Amino acid sequence: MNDILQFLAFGFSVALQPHNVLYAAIGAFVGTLIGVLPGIGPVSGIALLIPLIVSLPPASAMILLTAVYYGTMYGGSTTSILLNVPGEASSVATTFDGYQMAQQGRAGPALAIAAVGSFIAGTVSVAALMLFSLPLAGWAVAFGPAENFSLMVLGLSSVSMLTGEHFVKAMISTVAGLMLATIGVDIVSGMNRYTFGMPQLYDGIDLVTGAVGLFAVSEVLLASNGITGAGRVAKIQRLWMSARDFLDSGWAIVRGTVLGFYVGILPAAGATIASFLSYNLERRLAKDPSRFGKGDIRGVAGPESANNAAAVGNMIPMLSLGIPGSSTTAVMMGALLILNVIPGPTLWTKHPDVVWGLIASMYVSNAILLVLNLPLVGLFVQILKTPERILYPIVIAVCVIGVYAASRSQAELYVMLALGAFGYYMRRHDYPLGPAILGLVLGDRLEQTMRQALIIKDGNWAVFVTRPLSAAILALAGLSLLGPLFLNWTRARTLRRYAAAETD
Amino acid sequence: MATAVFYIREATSYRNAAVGDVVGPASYPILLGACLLALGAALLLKPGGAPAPDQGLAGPQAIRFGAALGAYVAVIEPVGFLISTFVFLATTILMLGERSFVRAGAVAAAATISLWALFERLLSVLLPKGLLGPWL
Repeated sequence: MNDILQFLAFGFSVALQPHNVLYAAIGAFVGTLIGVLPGIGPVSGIALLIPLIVSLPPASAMILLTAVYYGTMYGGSTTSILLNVPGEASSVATTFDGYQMAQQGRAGPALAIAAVGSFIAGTVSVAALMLFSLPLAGWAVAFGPAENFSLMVLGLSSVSMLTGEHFVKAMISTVAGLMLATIGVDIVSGMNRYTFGMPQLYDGIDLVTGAVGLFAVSEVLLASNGITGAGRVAKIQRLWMSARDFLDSGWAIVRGTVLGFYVGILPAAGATIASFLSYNLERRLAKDPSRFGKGDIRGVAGPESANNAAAVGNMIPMLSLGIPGSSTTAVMMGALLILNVIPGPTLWTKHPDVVWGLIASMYVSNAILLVLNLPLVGLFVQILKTPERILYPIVIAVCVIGVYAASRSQAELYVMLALGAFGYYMRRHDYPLGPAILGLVLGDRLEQTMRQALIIKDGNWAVFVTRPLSAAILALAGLSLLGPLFLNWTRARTLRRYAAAETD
Repeated sequence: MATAVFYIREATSYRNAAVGDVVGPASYPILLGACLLALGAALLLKPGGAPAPDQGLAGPQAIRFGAALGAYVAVIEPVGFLISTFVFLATTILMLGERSFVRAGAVAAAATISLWALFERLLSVLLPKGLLGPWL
């Protein structure tokens, strides 16, 4: 315990250096902007910033990206409440009651409780993150390549299970991501794979290009089909909430925090699921559930706290095991790799300034966002009033600049375009994109660990199941794949029974 | 229709994987190819869940927007950032429903210049100069 406090003090000494506070503030602002803008979410937003941060020291770079991550969560809730347009999937649940509150002239209290709830949830769960990550990392240090491989398989399979309705499509998306990752020079043999003789592809698909193409370009293309006039922005009358509002939502915040954090730790469950679970929980616990969906403040407080707590919980597998739990943390992990910092158990001993600086900076960015966001709501509303026909082209221009800046090559822009078309196709046909980006980030390491494990054992594939820990993790992965099949089966059975009862 | 596309995609990917190189670097892609083949088959056998949305492959707007983006990307290096971005923004803003030519031009010019100032001047990202090279 004392150790942790000492480390935390060290972390604050990093995070509170003036330039790092400045980076956190910039990140928080840019992140909120990204969260507010349509067509550009946390994944592509963070990816676009990667080229700009490579020259920074790793600790500062991660502080900036973490602040961006946080900011997008706040920004997403702002648009949910004011416009009924969730900036991110994780703030969909906020629209149910948040927009209703705004319609009733209570946009101010809704925004305030979202900010306060997020702040409380964020701060509490960062504390929990410290308690959980260190032991987990200590335990994971002993992992060999076989365990790491199995762990990544578990991460990928659970993501596929949880992100989409249709789990075969989610699996296909994962495999597609892994396949994209195999493009380029093979690290072990030095052989070109899937480059079709194009030297531009030798380096493989850049993470920035992948994230921006798959997420941002495809989103804008899809949205350009149905451009309408700007939505009606609700008026904000009072910016703060009453004591009554706060008392009403106190327990919702506490429950949302605990629930969100635990859901966040589970590989892949993530903020979106946490926010929906919290919304349902609040509705179920309420004495008067009929008020939900009609502007109940608890319907904003719960999900908003849950999605922030989950965002923090999500960092645990990334920081301690090197397995990102969501597409956003996958991109952050990609950024760490670009900065030559290997996430995982060794991170804690090799780069304590990065880890603890990052953790401390979560407190700092939480505080900055709380102070920054309420007064700036007016500015963000102005941005939201800009018609989409103007916003979307500019967003695309920013994407082009970002990808170009990362590679300084025109070829990379074509790759972005191709991936944009691919992402568009996937969106159109209900393939979740998250697993693909996770596959793209993890692909190289998945293959490397697999081959390392095989080389150690002279190509004996049994290595993955004869090592007990690796076998146990793989079994879990298998279970997570069979889980949805079982659920579908029971659901179908219940439906059949129900139908049979109806006809009787 | 969707299933046919899946089938083709999975078939080509399988061929790629199988043609993959000698044993070492190829085994992993083959594994992936096999996974995709199995999944594709699963989808063929039971295309359940939500049927593919009945909107066709692409809306005309998305195609036009995509084409504009393609053209932009193709000329950005030879023509340079400032000119190509201005033209791209003005065209797409008009395409997406802006009626006033003056407003589209003004917004495009303002956005181009501010993006350029932000990235090239403030963040020192080198953007292609193109035709305007001698004057920048």
